[in-house]
Amino acid sequence: MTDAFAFVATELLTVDVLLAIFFGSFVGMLIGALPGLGAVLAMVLMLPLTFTMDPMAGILLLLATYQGAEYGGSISAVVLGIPGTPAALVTVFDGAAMAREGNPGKALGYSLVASTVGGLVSGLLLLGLSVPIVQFALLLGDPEFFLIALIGLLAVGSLSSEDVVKSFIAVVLGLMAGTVGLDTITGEARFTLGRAELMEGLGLVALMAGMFGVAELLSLVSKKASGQAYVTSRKGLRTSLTWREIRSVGRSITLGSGIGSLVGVIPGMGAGPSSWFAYSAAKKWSKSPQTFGKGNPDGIAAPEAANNATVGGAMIPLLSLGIPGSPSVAIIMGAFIIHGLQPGPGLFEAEPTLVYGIIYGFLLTSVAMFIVGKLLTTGFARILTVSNAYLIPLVMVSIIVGTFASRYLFFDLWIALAAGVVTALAVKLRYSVAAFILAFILGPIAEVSLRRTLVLSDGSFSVFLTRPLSLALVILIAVILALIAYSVIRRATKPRAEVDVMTTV
Amino acid sequence: MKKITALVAGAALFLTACGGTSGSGASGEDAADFPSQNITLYVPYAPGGATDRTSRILAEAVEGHLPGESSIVVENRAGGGSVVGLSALWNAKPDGYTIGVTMETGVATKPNTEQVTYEYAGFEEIALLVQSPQILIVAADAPWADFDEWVEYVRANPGKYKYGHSGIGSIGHLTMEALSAELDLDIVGVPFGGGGESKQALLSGQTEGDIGSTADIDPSLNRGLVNLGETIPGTEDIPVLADFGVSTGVVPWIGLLAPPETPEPVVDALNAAFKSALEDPATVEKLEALDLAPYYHDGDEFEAIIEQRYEEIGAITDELGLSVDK
Repeated sequence: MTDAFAFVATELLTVDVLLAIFFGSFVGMLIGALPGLGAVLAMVLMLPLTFTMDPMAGILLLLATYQGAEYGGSISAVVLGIPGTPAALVTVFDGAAMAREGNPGKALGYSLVASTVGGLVSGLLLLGLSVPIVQFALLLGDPEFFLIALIGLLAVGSLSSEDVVKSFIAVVLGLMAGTVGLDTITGEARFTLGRAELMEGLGLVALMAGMFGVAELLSLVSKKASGQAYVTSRKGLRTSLTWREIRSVGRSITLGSGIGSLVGVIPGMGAGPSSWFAYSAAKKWSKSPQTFGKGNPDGIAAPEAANNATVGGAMIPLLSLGIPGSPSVAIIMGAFIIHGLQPGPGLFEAEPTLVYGIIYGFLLTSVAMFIVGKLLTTGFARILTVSNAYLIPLVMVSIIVGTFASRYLFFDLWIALAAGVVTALAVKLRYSVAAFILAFILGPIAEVSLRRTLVLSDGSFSVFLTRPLSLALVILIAVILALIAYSVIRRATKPRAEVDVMTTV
Repeated sequence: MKKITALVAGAALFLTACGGTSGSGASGEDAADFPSQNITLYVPYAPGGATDRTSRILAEAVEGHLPGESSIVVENRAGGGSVVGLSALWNAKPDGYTIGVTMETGVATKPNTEQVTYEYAGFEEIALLVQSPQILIVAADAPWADFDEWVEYVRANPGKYKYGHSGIGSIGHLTMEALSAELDLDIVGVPFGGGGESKQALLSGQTEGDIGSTADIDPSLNRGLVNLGETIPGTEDIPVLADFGVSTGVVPWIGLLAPPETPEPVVDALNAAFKSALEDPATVEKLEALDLAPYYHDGDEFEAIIEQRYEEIGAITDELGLSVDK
């Protein structure tokens, strides 16, 4: 093993490979930081470069881009309050809140440290525990995916404890919006109004750009504060954290890294749900859940660790089984195949140096991301020192460019605009935007996996109780519901006690 | 502050540039000068998939065969099972600077199952390019030694055999339906979101079959039971349906289209460039490494194949109740 490592190290620590890693981190971060543009687009831009590179450098270039874009997504989430990717959606809640209190540097600092640790942890799992994790992954099927998505949906209720009814209305609307598009099970078009652009559903990037970006800009403009800037003191730009601050979010980073790595293994789930699960878990175990959404560092660290850990997690089924679980991983698989290499157990035997080189190199991409992030982050944080009169039009332009570039559809720009106007009104009426969008993401996962479960079980629901992992999840859901019921009853009997129904979830 | 503004503006410009500005061919240009600028190739699928991969290889390979210095820039126009991309191609300027790839889904299946905004027979067909294998894959330890044993099992257990495919109306799904009709089998197709998900379902034992290509097969995990198309280099060890006396069989192909009314000399120039690329041993080697085989047919033959597949698929989708009122 040590010999193998030494051999791998000489292959890995070449100028070509290191250049590829740093270049990927840099470009990924830059593109990820623009609202609407995420890992997939960044990787597609890099893909042609990998054709002529040797496989190790090429694949590490893509992995570095992927990692950089996942962290970069948090930059626009924190600084502009616009999640560039579903993965950064949850980071908006606390990241943007902390930035607007005058500490954008600190918020990005938490994100960078958590992203780096998340990437490293998932890389170590990829290196050491691939085999048991793959065995675990093969115990999961549609019944479990459905129950996991259901738990995610239950947790969405905990987002807004102010008005539970409005929060649930938002969830239901999100679920309804999620039904637009081609019905996977029957092949029927639903609510597409005959438009091909809606066959894949409402564009998530367009919705998020509209609901967070356009809506926020509309409300900023209406506040007549356009001459001001969010951040006026240079102190707020400092990104370095004290050791004590890092330790204080240690538990959230650990939670996020673990959850992210595991969710990354599940095909079709991806970084969006994974960061949401990490956020919910961190909130559940926090001593001060009421400060979540108001700039709690744990609320940044957990999802950011999770979305980078998802990258390493997703590499496990790719390298072990040849299964690409997400569009970004499919691009990496494409790069393997273009070089005549087929990811899977056979590749471990045929090209061990390459596979281990990629795994060790993946750890290096996390380190490179930290270094590049350190250099770039202060610059990004300074965006908030720009007066709103300049910032708003610039952000608007980048939203339009980003939304269009993600699918080349003008239709998406109209979606973004409409979603923005509706959201600006809904926010005034205190509806939860986050609850809507999370339901929109989780709803289709829950729906398709439930219906596919029933196709596979010939319509019998007993499959949820006969599969061990599924049974465990059913019990977990029962416990969650019992806890909710318990606190509802307790609140009913002690009307003035400060028990909040939804924070128990 | 100026720096930041410049950075954001620069980045925006960079991305706009990368996005590519397409379809702006110089007007009044002589066809003899074609091509005098870069050609945009629409790929109606998301990046990372098999068609995207193949298109990028072909785009790169054909560059040396085009007259002049032009290159081919791939642009993904994904959505609606290639309907979004083909609609964009239908409306693109017919000057040869915007062309697109298609599989039979876009021109022969979707026009049967959906109201599309283009006419399946209205494009200018440039050429058929490559074919890929389509294989019924089973677990490595599956009890069937060959396709005959599989048929026997399926006959003995009607409605029990479940296999995953990549969506209702996908080539794999329709071929399996045609096979079931020919042999009078009762099997259940389970739609998945993509190749990765249906492979996971096979390996985890949720399904007993998966439709995929040779790239999805690894001897320690799974094996190809039967090839639903033709044998191509690299797939000789997997028998084809015809070996078992079955007449069903579909060759998944990738072909090249231009918008309607693209001038004939331009179409011919493109055809010549792709034809000579497919005859280039270096390109053939690259394609075969990916288990793709050159499947060149000229525009007229391609047109006839589309027409034939449109009719055949229409019969299957009528039977399945998937057809739309035409």
